[in-house]
Amino acid sequence: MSEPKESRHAATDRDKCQEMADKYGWELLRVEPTDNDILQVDCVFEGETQFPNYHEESEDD
Amino acid sequence: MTKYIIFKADKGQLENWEKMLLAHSGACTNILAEHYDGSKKPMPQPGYRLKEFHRVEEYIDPRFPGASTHCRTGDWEVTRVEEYIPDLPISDFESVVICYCQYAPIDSPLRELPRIQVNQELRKAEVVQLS
Repeated sequence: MSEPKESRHAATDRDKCQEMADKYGWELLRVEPTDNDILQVDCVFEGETQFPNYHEESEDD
Repeated sequence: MTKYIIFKADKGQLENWEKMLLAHSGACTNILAEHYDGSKKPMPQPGYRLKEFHRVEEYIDPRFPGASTHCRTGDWEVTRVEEYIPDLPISDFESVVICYCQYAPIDSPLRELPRIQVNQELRKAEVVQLS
């Protein structure tokens, strides 16, 4: 059986990770500090996750 | 809507309970992990195992030195699950799920995690701040 994959996205704070899970329907497994001054957290999600195409998103707005 | 899933060590499962402390308060805890699940998939069932995250020195990304580099299927296994659905008209969560876990060590390999993705807007913000 193949291991389930994870994917990761940088964010400025932990609440952004939860917002991503809410907005895109992802499962947030973990929020880690990165020691990066600006992108301070790593949001770890179950499975492969990618942001929707930004061009399409701006057209919807 | 999102499920808030709390993984707890079941009674009698924590041998090193005195080392299980909430870092910000110093209080003892038996919480092992929290997940926020915005997907539509079913909640965890008995047999589900938590993932365990590690930092391997040679693989550390200098841009994100604090982040994990590897993970493995972990030693804590869910044995029973309770789901609580709020009876409020508006709530932050669709439900709160408590997964009770037992310590059941297994031999599982470390896997390298994928690179941390940075979206275009944040990349621009980082460049502006650094310049």
